[in-house]
Amino acid sequence: MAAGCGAYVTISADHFLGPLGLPELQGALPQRRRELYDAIVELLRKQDLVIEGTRGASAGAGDEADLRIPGTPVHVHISAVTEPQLNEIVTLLAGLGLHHKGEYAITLAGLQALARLFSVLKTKYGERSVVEALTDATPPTADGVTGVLHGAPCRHPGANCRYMQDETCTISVAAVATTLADLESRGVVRRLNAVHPHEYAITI
Amino acid sequence: MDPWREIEERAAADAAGKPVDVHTRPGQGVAFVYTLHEGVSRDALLDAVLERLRRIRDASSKRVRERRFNVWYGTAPDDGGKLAVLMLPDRFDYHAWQKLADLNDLPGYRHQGGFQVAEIEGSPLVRYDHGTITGYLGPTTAAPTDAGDVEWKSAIVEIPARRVERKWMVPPSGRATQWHTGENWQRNRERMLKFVWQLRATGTYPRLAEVTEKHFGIAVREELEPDDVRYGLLRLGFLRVSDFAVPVGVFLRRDLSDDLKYLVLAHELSHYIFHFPLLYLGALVDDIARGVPEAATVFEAAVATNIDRDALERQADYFTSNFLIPARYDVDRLAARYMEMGRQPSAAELAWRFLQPLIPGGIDAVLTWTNLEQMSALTAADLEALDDSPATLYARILKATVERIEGLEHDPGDRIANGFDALQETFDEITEAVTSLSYAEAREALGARTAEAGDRTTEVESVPDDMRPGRYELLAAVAVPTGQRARSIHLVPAAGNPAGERGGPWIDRHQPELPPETIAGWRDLVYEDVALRLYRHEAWQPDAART
Repeated sequence: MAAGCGAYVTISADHFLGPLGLPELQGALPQRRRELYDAIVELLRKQDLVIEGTRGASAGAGDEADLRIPGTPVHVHISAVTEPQLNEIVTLLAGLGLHHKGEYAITLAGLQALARLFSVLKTKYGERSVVEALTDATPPTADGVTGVLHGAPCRHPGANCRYMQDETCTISVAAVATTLADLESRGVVRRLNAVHPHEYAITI
Repeated sequence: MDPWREIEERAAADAAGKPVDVHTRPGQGVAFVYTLHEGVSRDALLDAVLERLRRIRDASSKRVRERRFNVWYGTAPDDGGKLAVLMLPDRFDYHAWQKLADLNDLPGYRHQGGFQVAEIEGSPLVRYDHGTITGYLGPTTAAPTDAGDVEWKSAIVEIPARRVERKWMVPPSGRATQWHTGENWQRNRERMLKFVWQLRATGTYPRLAEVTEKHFGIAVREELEPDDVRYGLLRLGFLRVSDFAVPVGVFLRRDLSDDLKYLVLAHELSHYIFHFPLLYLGALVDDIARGVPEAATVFEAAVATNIDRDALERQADYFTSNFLIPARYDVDRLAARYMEMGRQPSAAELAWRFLQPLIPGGIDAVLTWTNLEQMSALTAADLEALDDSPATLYARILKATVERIEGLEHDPGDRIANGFDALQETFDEITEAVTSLSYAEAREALGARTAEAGDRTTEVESVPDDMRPGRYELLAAVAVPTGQRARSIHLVPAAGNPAGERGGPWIDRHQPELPPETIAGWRDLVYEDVALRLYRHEAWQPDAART
């Protein structure tokens, strides 16, 4: 199928989230952004949704000056725009703030592992919100997580969470502490210190 | 809103049942810095600050009492230890300040200075609001019962989204015609250069598009599809034979963000400023080629031989950087006056910091001594990775910006200027042949040049038979005599055929007074060696009757 018939979108490292129907990651570190682009292309390539090369490119006309996409443009089949795994990956990156953290390299394998990790979380018991709030809580303790969540608008209002009332989170310190302990036993988070108050980090 | 003084109250209480204030993180403040140890803890500093706020509340002077402000507390790393920092607003009434100034008498005090709140890891400590004192505790800590004159709450902090400052662009005086010639391009170019020189900050896409249309006479259309391999292009329209004028349009990929559209539009305007003569000659030749198709082949061969398109792109990038970091902004001079952690950043490093937030999704970090090392590493990595064929638009613009501010020559050896001169010569030869020889002789002479050029250009770049693939649909000529090339007629949909159906009426763009015909009708009317070009997307061009 030829480019130009609307079956493909053309993406580049400068411009790929919007064409794929994904939200823009504001404040992304340049390396993280490039890594994310590579990871997304790799994922789509595995799914056979990518055609590389300058399809549809024509020689520059005498009375035109065009700004071509630098490097090798990547043509992605339009069905990738509704690819649920892509959306999940970018949502996770934004939720965990990994796009502006320097200590991780974003790889497809890492993102998929993270997505798998999050897929085992039970949103109706507030587990996903607790894990996401760990990155916002200072310090990342049960108290800190409760401070971030309690009274704030529910992060996943469609999840039918038992702690949601009037779309507001009402989770208690005890519930967060118990949830974190259980998540630790399942390998989703790890405890950073031995004595109370315990601090936690996501297992990546 | 002044985040040092304003807050919002959240409707829902915290986990301990206390009310919650929503603070926005302020920018600059006055910091009292202490060595953090057991004598100086958050609780100890909280007590000390509360004591001083009571002095303000109980002051005899209404001028001292009637005010509101927040005090922040945080910590910051120090060599082998930690610092405790109290931060207050940087603007304060002198008499009220006297009630607080002895914070420098507390144990562990080190120094006082102006800092960014972003530099500390902290949160609001207390708030004073016209006699009401609020103390902030953790969201799960119950309010104490023994401090009756203090309201206890918890605080949540919102970090304001930083957007790089983009300013309204002052338009140039007067307006340009939509019909461009070599002559009025010079005047328009002068106005555009002046406009760019007068920029004080990066502008916005909607404003640049408006100025481009209204003041430079260039149409701006977002009509390229998301599958296009081009971000944008500068295109000349059909020639108006009465004065040899052409309309000019910029076409952008419609799915780009506004930040990217701004960049692409600036790039295309740079092409107009520097390369309009080349495109204009191309349009003139294309018009001649309707009847003398060999002219197009000769000209295109000359373009392939003499014009380095990469050099044109680099020149356009170089000038585009002025739209992002204005020419008046002397980055080199600024770098010479900068000192960070004992070293001077280079102009290229500063350019990286200025450009980064202008690129979609880029970082707009609050640069502090706590993240300076990380930022420097990022900058160095990007600058080291720059090479002659940058793989991203950002890298291209960064490279061009660095070259500009470092004063590097972007067209060594005047290759672009020499190429333009060579093209002008070729064009003169074409017009000489067309005007001084008979029709048949001109075609024969240029045909001979075509054969000669064909031999030469195969070594450089193969010249496509048709100069403008993609812009129009080409219906080939029925029969072309051996050794000749097809002439062409340019058709656009008539008013009654907005979708450009072949069975609908079409008119000859260059002779609109002729009656409209269907495509089959035109095929019957024209000679067999005439190809039909069907232009369906030329509605952007102004009416030829307009000035």
